[in-house]
Amino acid sequence: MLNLRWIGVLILILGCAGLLQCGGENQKTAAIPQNPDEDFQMTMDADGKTEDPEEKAALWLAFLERNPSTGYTVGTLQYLATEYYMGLKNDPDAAIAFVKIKLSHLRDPELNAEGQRLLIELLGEAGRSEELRELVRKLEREAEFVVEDDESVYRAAIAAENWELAREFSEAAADKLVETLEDPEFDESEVESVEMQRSAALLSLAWAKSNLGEDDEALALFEEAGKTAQFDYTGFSGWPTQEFDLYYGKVLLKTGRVKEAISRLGPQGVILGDPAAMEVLAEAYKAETGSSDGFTDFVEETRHRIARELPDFKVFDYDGEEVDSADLNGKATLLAFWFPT
Amino acid sequence: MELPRLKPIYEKHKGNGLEFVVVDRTNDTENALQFIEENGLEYRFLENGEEGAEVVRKVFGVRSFPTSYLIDGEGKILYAHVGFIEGDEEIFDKEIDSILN
Repeated sequence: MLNLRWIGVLILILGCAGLLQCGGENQKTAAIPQNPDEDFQMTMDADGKTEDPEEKAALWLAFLERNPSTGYTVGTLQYLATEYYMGLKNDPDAAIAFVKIKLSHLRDPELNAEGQRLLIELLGEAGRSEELRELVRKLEREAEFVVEDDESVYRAAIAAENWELAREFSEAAADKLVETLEDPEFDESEVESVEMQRSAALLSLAWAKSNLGEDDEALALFEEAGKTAQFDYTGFSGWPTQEFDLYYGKVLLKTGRVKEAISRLGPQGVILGDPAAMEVLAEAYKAETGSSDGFTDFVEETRHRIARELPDFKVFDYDGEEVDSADLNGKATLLAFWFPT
Repeated sequence: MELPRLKPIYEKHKGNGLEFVVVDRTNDTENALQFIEENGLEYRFLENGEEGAEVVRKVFGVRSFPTSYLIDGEGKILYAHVGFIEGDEEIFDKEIDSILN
C-alpha cells in the first residue's frame, strides 16, 4: 500500500517536471537563477548592456531568498549591496542595512567572515568611521576571524578616513607579512605576491601616517613600498596601485618637494588620465610656476616627454600574417587587450 | 564587454586613419573568432604569441582587463586606459581627437 502510494507521488513529481519543462519551452517566464554567475552572463545582451537593473536585482533577491547561506550568497550580497543599493540607488545606508539583515542568515563561519568583510568595506565606503571601528573591535573580541592583518580593515579605514585605525591595521598587516617572508618554510614562488601585499600595506601605512602629521616617516615608507614596483604606467600588475603615485605625490607636494611631486604624478595623471592625479598635478604646477597659466600646454608637453615607445613584438594576426610592432608605426592606433567572454 | 562598445568610436574615426588592433590574452582563437562574428567586429586581431613571450603579459605587463593604449603615428604610447565603464566612450573620443590632430 505504502509502496503504491510512493509510486503515485513519484509519477506526480515526474509529470510536473515534464509539464514545467514543456511550459518553459513554450512561454518566456522570468527565470530564477540557479547560480548568479550564470545569471549575470544571461543578463548581458549582445551589445554588452545589462538588462533592466531593477529586474536583475529582483532576480538576485529571489536567488538570495532561496539560498540564504551558500557559496554564492556573499557574491550575491556584494552585487546587490555595491551595484544596486550603492551604485544604482546611491544609498549606502540601505546597502549596509540590507547586508546586516542578510548576514544573520550566514551560518557557515567562513562565509560569515566573508560577509563581515563586505560589511567592513561598505562601512568604509559610506564613511561611517566610528561604526567601522566598533565592528572591528567586536570581531576582534569575538575572534570570529583574524582581523589583525586583514587588508579589508585598513582599506575601509582609509576610505572612512579613520587614520588611527588605518595606521594600526596596516602596520600589523605589514609586520605579519614580513614574518611570512622570513618563515624558513615559506614557499619561494609566493614571494612576489607577498611582497606586493606588503607594499600595499606600507602604502596605506604611509598615507595614514601622513594624515596623522608624520610626514617624514610617511615619505620613508612610500620609498620602501615603491621598491617592489615592477611596471610603469604601461603595465598594471595590481601593484603599484593607482593610489601609490597619488598619495606619494600628495605628500611630496605637501612637504615642499614640488618637482618630485610633478614627476611622480605625471604618468598617472597625463598618460592614464586619472582625474585625482591631474588635480594634484595642477596644484603642483601652480606651486612651481606661481600660476595656473599654461597648464594645458604643460600637460601636452609632459605627455610627449614621458610617453614610452611601443615595445617590440612579433606575432601572427588571425589571417595568419606575421605582424611586427614596427608595422604599426606610422598610423595612429588603438591597441586593446581583452578576452572574449 | 568593451569591444562591441568601441564600435561607434571605430565607425567615427576609421576614416581618419585610426587603426584598431586587438590582442586576445586567452590564446583561444576559436572562441575569439566566434565572438567577433557574433558581434560583427571589424578590428584587426592579433594572437598573443608563444608561451613565455606573450604580448599581453610579458611584453606589456598587462594584468588587468580590458586595458587599451592610444599610440601616435611615431609609435609612442600617449594614452593608456584601464577598464571600461559607462562614459569612457567620451574619454576615448577626446583622447583620439587629440592624437589625430
